[in-house]
Amino acid sequence: MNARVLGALLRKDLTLYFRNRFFAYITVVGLVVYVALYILLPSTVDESLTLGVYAPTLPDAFIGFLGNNDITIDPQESDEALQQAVADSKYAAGVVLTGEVISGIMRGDETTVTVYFASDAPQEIVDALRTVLRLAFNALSYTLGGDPLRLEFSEQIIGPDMTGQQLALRDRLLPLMAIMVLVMEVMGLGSLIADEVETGTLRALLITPVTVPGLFTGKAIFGLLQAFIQSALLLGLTGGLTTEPLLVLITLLLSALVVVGLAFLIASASRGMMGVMAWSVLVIILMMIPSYGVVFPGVASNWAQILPSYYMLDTLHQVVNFGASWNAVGGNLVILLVVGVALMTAGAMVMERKVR
Amino acid sequence: MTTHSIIAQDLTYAYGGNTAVDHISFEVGEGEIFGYLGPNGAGKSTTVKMLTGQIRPKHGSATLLGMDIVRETNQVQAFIGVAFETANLYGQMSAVENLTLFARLYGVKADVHALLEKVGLEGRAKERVEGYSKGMKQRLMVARALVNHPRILFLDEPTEGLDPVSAEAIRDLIRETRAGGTTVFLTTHDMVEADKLSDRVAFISQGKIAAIDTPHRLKQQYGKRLLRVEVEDGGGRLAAREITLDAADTGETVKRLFEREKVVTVHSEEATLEDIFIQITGRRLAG
Repeated sequence: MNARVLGALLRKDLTLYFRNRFFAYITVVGLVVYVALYILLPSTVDESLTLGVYAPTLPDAFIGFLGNNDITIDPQESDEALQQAVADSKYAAGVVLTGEVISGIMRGDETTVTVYFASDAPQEIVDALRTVLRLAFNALSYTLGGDPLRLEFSEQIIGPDMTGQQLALRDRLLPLMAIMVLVMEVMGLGSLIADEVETGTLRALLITPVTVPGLFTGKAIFGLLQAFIQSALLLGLTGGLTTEPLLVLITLLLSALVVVGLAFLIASASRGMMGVMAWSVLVIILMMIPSYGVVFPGVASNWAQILPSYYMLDTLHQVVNFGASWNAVGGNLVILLVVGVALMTAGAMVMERKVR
Repeated sequence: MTTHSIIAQDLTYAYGGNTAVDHISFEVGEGEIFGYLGPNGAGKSTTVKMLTGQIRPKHGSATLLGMDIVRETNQVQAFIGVAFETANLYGQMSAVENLTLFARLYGVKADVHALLEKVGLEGRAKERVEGYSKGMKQRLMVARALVNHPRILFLDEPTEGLDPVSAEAIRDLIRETRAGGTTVFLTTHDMVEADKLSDRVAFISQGKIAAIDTPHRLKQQYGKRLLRVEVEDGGGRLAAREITLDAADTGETVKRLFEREKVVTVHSEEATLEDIFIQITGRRLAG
């Protein structure tokens, strides 16, 4: 198939896509809404935290250290009251500092401190508090006993130290918006193909010099460009391309490849537009599951990693929000490439069977 | 020597265990209008799909313009035009855009406005096709099939369900196309249309070709010519009489009728292609 035929097919698909009011509306309004949402959401985070504390006597050194780290202390009357306040998500964490604990620190004994964390506290807040509390107890130990704190910390924090790196909601949502724009293409391209099969226009194309592989190439290029340009535009308008732009763009392109493969599979499995809609909604919901893990850390468990969208989202989140390098996300990119090629191949094979 | 645009030899196709086309052979001459007649399910569309490269024959071969349709599918497709039975146009595009798209795919420069004028759609050329009537869509389908100036034109039920004016417009276009040297392969179960347009017709029934010839020779061979006479009896009531024209004593019979009865009307009648189809295959064309 030559460039002339490919150009004619792409031009036709672009015309049909934007003459479908539903998809034209979703594409344009969706992009505008996502950008507007990003601009309207707060661009800063409230870095001051309130820590619930039950302590009959609260040492000044402890209060002073936490105050220097923008952590306000809110005393509670009892251990039970503290537990209830944490359970009600009034605080991300609560600390019990009994007289026995203070005495233990003063004597330089190995001491156990009870800390309560709210179950819905974001993982990075929990990590940050652990770090700050450890430092606060160290300061306390020096002040009271003149020795380093003798505590065995069995907990380990894996991953980057998030202290001082809390994300604004809009930055946390940005990779999710980009993935949403990408996966919507599953419905757009799937419908475009299914409509051509249903109305018989595909049959008309195939008695011209257009070949089946050529036809699929045209559709794949259209889908790739459509998904890639939309998501790149969104990230470009919201500042998501300022860190490692090439890495972000390659992630979007590989993600678009996965999406096009899924669209091919859906179009071949569906009978008509309603079938495409039903399958697409199912796929979109599944593909969005890993995003909950970014917006609400801890809620999406490891099994979400079986979904390709996890690797799209994790890569974008790490690169756009934390400036991760090629080395850090290289594994994700390889997985996206392999999954994308596999889905495209499977989708094209099943589609070819259906068309012939 | 006649040049053949289409040569089908022993063509066979089966959907699973059902043989749709069963070892058929025929030739279509250059510039000929060839009527391919049969009821629904007889194997007409399957034959066209094989001849246009949409499906591969399970057995046999077909040569179009000297090229094998299986081995040289793309080359053949550059020289053929196909108008399908059901309108498969891009409804959200205009007539001009539909034709321009196909002209680009074929890599030809087509005067789409002249083509639309030819099928009577020039006035609505820029409207979206989804708003067209069935007749207008059918005419646009024929125009699309002509966009690459095909040397063979396949038309599948081109006037099915159309009003008489639209149907006649399409018939005129088919005659005009043939006059330009294009071979027309006309698939239909409308025997009147086939009779009006075709140089030769083939009857297909249950996947096999039952007869091929000109409509005139088929009628001569299989039909019987009649005189249908209306007479009035003594009480003023009308009665019908039939006289076979090809009998040895026809003259005498007609003479006697005029002498003995009060003749009101006399009509000659010859067999239709449908009569002959039924006679040959034992099946009706319609349905």
